[in-house]
Amino acid sequence: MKTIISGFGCLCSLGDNVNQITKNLYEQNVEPSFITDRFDSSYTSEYPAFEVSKDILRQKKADESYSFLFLRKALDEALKAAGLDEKELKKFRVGVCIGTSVDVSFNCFDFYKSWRKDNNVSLDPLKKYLAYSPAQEILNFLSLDGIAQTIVTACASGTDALGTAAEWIKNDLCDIAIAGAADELNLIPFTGFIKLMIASKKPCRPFDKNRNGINLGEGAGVFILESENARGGIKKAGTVLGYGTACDGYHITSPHPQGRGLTKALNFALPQAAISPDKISFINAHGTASIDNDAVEAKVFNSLLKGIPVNATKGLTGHALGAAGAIEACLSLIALNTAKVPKTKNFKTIDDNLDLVPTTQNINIDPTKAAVSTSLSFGGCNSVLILGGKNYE
Amino acid sequence: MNELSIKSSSFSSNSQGLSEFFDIKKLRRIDELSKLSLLCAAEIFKKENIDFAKEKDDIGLIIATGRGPIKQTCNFMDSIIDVGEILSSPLSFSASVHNSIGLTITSLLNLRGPCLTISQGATSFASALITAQSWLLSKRAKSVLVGAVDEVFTVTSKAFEEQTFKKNCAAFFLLTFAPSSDRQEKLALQHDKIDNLNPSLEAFDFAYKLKALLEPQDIKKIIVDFIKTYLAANKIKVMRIFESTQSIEELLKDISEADRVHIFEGLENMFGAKTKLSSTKLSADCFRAFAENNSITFLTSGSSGKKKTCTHISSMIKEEVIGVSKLFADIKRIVSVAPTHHSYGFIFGLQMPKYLNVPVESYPPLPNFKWNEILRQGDLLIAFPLFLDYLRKLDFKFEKGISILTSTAPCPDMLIDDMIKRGAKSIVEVYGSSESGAIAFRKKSGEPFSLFPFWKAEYENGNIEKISRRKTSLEIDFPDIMQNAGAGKFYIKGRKDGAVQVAGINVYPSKVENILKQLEYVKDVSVRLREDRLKAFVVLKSGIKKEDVEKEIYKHLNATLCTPEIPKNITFGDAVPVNQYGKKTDW
Repeated sequence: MKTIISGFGCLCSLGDNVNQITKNLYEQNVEPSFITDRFDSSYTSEYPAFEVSKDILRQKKADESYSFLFLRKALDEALKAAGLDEKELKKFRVGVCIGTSVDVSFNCFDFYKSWRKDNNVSLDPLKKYLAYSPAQEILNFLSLDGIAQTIVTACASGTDALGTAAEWIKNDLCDIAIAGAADELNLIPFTGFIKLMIASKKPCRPFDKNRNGINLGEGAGVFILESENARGGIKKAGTVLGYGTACDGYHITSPHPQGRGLTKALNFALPQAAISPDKISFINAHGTASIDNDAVEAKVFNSLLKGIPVNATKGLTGHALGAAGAIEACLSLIALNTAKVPKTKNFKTIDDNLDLVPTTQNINIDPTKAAVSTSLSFGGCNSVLILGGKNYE
Repeated sequence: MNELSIKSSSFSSNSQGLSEFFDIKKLRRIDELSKLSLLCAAEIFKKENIDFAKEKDDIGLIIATGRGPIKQTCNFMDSIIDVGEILSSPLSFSASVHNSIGLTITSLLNLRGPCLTISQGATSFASALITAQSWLLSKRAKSVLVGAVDEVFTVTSKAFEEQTFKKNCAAFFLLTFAPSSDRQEKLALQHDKIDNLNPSLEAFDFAYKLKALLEPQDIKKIIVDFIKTYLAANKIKVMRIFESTQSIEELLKDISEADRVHIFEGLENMFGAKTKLSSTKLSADCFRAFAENNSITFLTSGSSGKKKTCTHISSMIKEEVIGVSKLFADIKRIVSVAPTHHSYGFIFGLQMPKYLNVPVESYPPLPNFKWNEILRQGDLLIAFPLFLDYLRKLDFKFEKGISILTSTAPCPDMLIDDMIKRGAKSIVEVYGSSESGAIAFRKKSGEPFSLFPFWKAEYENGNIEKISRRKTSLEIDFPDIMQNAGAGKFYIKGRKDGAVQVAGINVYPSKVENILKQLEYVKDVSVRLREDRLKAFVVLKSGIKKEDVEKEIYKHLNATLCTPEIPKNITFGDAVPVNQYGKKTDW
């Protein structure tokens, strides 16, 4: 599979656009904070999270979710980078594939609370929720017809959206795809992860011996994917080379201890990309900093991709749930295109049980090789992308 | 070759059957939405002889859900509101994640291939098919199990009382690229069924259409009803036949050879048997005949002339069931007094309960049953006007929350209003015929009828002349005289009885009835064809003697009608003969 990435856009706690993110990815002057002004919870001053900039948050329209705001901004950046606009898109068969978690869940807490007290409250939030899906909303926003899909494989949603859309193009189901993911900080998952005891009160430490859980994050990543024939000879920002996904069928919150699904996903994606491990310059791990996730990833990487540099970026972005895979695919492309992998923030102490030391400093890589980006989700979905940068050969 | 084909499908709105497949202990913490999905997946695996225990990485799974486990999300929010974040339930949170449905299936059926969950509102299922096709093209899997599943949750069901079709369902399809064969169906979705309140409805309807119309137990029920009705109509074993436990064999015991021949001929006609039915394997023979024809033939009551046979194919019956079921989304149980070998009882008393997945109980239409003990809140009583009139005469009072569905034979407005006064929650009148099936309905007396959406009206001079079944070539003359009341709406003004031929001339029994009704001492009348001439049954008003008026009646007929129109024979009696369902019958 060689689906061209003609442009991408991103926003997260690292920055409002790809340029800002590129700078901060290596400078790493980013810390989580206590989100006390977005939702009312007694936990907000205990558990830090990574928020996008206040400048972005202020741009939210009254009738849109934060997630859609993030999508809209990243989409705008991606389309500009790809040299596309609505008029140009209308010439092609367009597909939209968006991953999310919060944005299609019935997390209208304030409405629900009011409704429980009084069934006669305005039903507008409910009606909006019933009619909404971000993929369709993007088609509507761009006044396009086309195929639309919103993927909700929890934390693997972003990776699955990108892989699914890339494969639509490979299989000639569309010419151009808008693929990506978005999620926002929200009371329900914020409380839920704390109750499941996998949230940390400290900045998260992927692969560290003393890791004790995740920090939540938010943001969006959007990619413009094209077939090689859609617009011949365009300048590419990268390539989707392979995509693998397989389920553990094991547990709702814990990955299979031997990494059953992740192994299968890698074993599908690598042959699809037609590359051997020596053509991989680094692995962007899911690296949530939860005890189980990092242990399973280390086991699988050591088994299949031993010796390849591993980095984890959740110490910079937090865990943006459904958006994580798309944001990290953007970060992986940035790394490939700048020939440099960032260090794994907050990693200090080696965990002897893992036999894996992630990047401890920014390291130079061969930009003609590929990157592997992994996502492991609630419900046991394991998904993998093999990405090439603009210089991939 | 690369078109998606359905290898197998299943549909369920009730997870009770799960215990056939799994140890109940394993299911304790699984929510209803996941259970429904698991049951559908398990049924498909059973049909396809797929080993549950074996690890399978060549079957992909895509869950399409417009809303996901929304009740669990509400449970989690409830726990935050009721006991605060600190004591809120982590189990509800993890079960509220869309992916939890997929996990239940992959873990209990040992799927190890790709698994995706899609939430694209009311187009989730259609969208899932795109990726299923893509997976098969990329050889990610040899087959893909696509399941549409959604539940109606408290907020929508209360907020959209009138519009919501309250149906928690799962519909699963095993898809492949394999060449089409007899057991594979092409996917043909109709994109005119977008319903945000019930986003998976299209998939549910589609899966229902793929299910067999009749199971062997349905055939037995139809045969029993047919025999009982025959025996009752012929005054044979009248009391005994209403003991509902009687089997086919018991019912056929001790009846004459002539009656046996009539019954068997009727059943052969109903199921389209090409060979004579045998006594020893009657239901199996009927089931085989039905399976070969995929249709069922009803006999009309003959109330508007000669009895006619009307053959209905499975696909149209199912379309009708889907259309009418939406009127009764709230019901919890069906109690039917209509026999299942009549089209009305077949649709509402046999097929609709299967589609809505509600229990059904059948009773003979006898007023002396203890109806107060039988009917309970949430029931839908499938009745007909004569039976409702029995209840009126009994001064019957309905318990709270019982709905009624009645055919229009016609059903007088006064009787409808009387039932409401007696406590019925609502009465829906369904207008139709054996020839056409259900045509229209109304929910209130005095209001016009509304055509069901599967019919299209053809107007002439402002009146509906014909109705045609959408997406088919079926077209029928509108059965009755109607008055137009706007698009798709009408009032019924009288029967448009078909002409019958007497001595080569078209004559109209209804015209003759009207002529007879002009006589001030005639209370009621029925006219029908008797071999080559008309005959009449006349009911005289109280105190009028036949001897005093018989000659005058003939004089009146001779003065107003031509010879072929004049009944050759007039029978006098206390009441016009009707069958046990209130329809005019022969004498």
